[in-house]
Amino acid sequence: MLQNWFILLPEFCLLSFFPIAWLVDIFRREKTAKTFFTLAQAFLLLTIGTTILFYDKSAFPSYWRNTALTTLFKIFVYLLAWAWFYLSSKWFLNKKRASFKFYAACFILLLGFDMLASSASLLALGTAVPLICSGYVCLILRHWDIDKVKKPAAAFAVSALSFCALLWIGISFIRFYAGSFEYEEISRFFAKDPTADALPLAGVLMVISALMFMMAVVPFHTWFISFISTAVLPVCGFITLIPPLIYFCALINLVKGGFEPLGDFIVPVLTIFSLLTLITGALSANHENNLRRLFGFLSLYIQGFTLIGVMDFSRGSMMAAFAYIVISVLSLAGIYTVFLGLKSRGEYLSEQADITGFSEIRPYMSAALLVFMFSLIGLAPTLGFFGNLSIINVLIENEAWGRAAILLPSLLFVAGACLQVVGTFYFKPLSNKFDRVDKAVYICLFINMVFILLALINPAWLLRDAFVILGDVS
Amino acid sequence: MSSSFAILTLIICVPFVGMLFVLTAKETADHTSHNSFNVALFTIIANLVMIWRVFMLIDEKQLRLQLFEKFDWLSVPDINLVFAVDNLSLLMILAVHLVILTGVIFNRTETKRQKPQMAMTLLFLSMTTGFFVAADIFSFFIFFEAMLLPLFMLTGMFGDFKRPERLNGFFLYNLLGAFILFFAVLLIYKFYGSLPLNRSNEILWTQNYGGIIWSALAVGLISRIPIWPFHHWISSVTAKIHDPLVFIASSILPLSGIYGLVRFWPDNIPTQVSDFFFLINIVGTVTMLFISLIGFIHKDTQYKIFSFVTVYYVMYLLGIFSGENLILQDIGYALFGFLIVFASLEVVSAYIYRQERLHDSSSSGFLCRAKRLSLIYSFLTFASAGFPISAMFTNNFLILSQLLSKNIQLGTILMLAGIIAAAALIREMFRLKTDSKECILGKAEDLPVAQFLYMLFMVFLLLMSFIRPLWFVINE
Repeated sequence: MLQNWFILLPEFCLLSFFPIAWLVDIFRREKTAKTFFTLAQAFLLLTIGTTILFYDKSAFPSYWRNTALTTLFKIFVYLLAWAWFYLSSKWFLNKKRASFKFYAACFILLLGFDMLASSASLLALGTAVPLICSGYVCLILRHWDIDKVKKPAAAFAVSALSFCALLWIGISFIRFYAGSFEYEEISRFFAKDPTADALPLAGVLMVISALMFMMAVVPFHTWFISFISTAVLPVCGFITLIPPLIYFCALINLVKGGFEPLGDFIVPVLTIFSLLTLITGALSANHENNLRRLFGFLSLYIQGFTLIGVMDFSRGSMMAAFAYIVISVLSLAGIYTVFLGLKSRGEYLSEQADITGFSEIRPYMSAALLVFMFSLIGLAPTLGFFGNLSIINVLIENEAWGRAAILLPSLLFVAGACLQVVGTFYFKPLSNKFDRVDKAVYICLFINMVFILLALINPAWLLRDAFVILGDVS
Repeated sequence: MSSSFAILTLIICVPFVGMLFVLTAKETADHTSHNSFNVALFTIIANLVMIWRVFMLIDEKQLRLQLFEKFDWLSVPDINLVFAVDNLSLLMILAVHLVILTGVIFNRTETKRQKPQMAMTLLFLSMTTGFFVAADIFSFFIFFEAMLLPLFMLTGMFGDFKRPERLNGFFLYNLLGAFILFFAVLLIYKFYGSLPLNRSNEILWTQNYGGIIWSALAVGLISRIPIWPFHHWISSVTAKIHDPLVFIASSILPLSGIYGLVRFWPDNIPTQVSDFFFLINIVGTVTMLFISLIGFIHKDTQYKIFSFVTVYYVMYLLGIFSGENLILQDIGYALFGFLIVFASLEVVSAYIYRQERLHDSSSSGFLCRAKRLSLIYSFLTFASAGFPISAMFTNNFLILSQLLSKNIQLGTILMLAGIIAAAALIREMFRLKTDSKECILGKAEDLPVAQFLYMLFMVFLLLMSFIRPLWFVINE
């Protein structure tokens, strides 16, 4: 019993950030964003350490199961969160805004993500999703002009409630027929007769729809775009960079663990969602003048691309999709880091018209943005090429011609959107005065570039262990 | 033959490292320093020495790929990078280095934003070198696509385009061609693994989607050559560039298509493919004729040079489709001479154009007063017109005779197109040599001595290439 409590240490670490930070917020006189970042950093490091320590131990294995796969995703997410917390602290320092609530909401979300990644039963999934939704609401409300974010927060709350209800109805249907919440039992039930009844299949559809809503897959993407449009930069970065990896892990766990016998039913459903997301993301990005929205649509596109790649849930497709999503998230992280340098008279800029000719005065930062964007397009010899190659190669290996035929032209649309940004940065005359860029932005960019360069020279350094883990899952 | 020392990798890396040095070079606020220029110059010259050394390491009489270098890159999917060279690829690397060097030297005075220009030029050079040393399908594709990024940046930043949409279209068009090739490469990988380029004859037309693979390869590679219906995006961008270095870089792009076709072209052409030859011959010849006529009518010298470049590229394309091994070798020698001729002509023309703008004067008759410029310009015009003073002459003669022997009507039209393109350049030379009162340019505006000496060296290279294309190779 005592051992179980030790195994829950990562979750305790995440949870205990809130009371400690609250006490600091109340009693410490001299407190800045740096204070809370230091605190967040300490708790994150503890979480990372304990997660690694208990990487295959589970306190309640029938609900939450830690495996090498879940640990892999969690570690990636914690490291990304750490980097983003560091950059966000600079934003809060510059704006002279309180950061306690931001970090607290992020830790609630990290706890939710932790639970979602390790879910081994629908009950755990059904608990994690509402927790994450509440975390999102707390996060969007972190704005000094509350009126600006009230509407999107309310709209999200309503739709999140509806989808949570849908999730629970779906879970009830499955529980009623399968007699259990556990993925293994559900898998056994569907393996017996995959086309038994319409109601359990409807339940599966509801559960998947709820997960798709969380992933902001089209047609459930509007909340994400409105978040991106209205939220402050640290919030935008957090909800764009951190969740995709966790949702990807949760999807693998759910489908491989619970719904694997329903392949014939799930693949067409995922195909529809992924194609809609891919096309909407690629086309909408081309009509955006606002950089945050543009990259918001591109992150939708990435979700669609990943879903298309992973759809078969075979060893090869999971590895390919993993490689793609990790590389894309790294590129997006680089792009968001550059956003922190787009500052004029204390204001962070996001309209393309405000940043024309940026390369003239910030050549290194613009060069980094160029590399990250071309990596997002997947142009050789950037690291993104490896991601695209992995997915398209799997599709061609499996003779999925239709999907490959859609992916290749969609890349052209993404390229078109990115070229607009390159044109704005490089080919147009300088039209604005920009503030000095914080050293932290350059440090993070440099680390990201080194990481990308090393991974490009030998992708095995980045992905070898991940491939072994994913190979074991399949 | 395999190499114990990774010299081929080194000749790819040197320009890349040079680019990193350029990025760290200091620039003065008034843009008067030449640090990035000096770094670029030194890098290219250093690489030229190494390329010369590689020539001595290979057996020039062998037509197959040599000096293999292999690097394990990916395990899933199993992809290795393989590099190797033969006479043709080395000649292309040498020519590309020489033409880029020419462009760099003539851009020395353009100090505004010299740093990004030199950095992107070196990146382009590195990627182009990688393309020519690639010896398997994946390395080939990676560098085929990698050339686009620096070229896009060069054209966008220094092409003086008022409408960026045109540039985006140009990039997307080339990207589409690359994706078609990517599709072919992945199909080849599915059925044949990471196939070395010298084993492309294993891809059979009737097996494993062979027809689709060959068609995609052909479309992907031909899309880089300004032949109808692919000519629009290339001509709309390249013909409008007035910076000589950028013009040279963008004119190297079609070379990647030509070289790719030479590399992939199997010894035994499937009979089904030969049916398409006639169609390609007609389309190519008509393209040549139209572009040469437009070049003849057009007043802009840049367009005349562009039409000359296009006509010759299409001619080499048709030469490849003739399928003769001897012709393939000749195309290598001819391309070497052709690249040096067009780049030299371009920089000299750009020099005249700059003087025109600088002094707000007409250039008609400028050559009567500038002796050094006149000598170089006349030589290059005659060389481009096909006079027996460069490697272009003998080899073009062989290619043309082959095409004439296959189809006399098309061969005649093709010759006519070549004559019109040459006539356009000669007419331009006569304009520059016909004295006019509107021209205020004189001896003071003549080619500087350093640049003149460099151009004399180019003239020497062309003359020697006429006598013996590989004259500089000293085999032990």
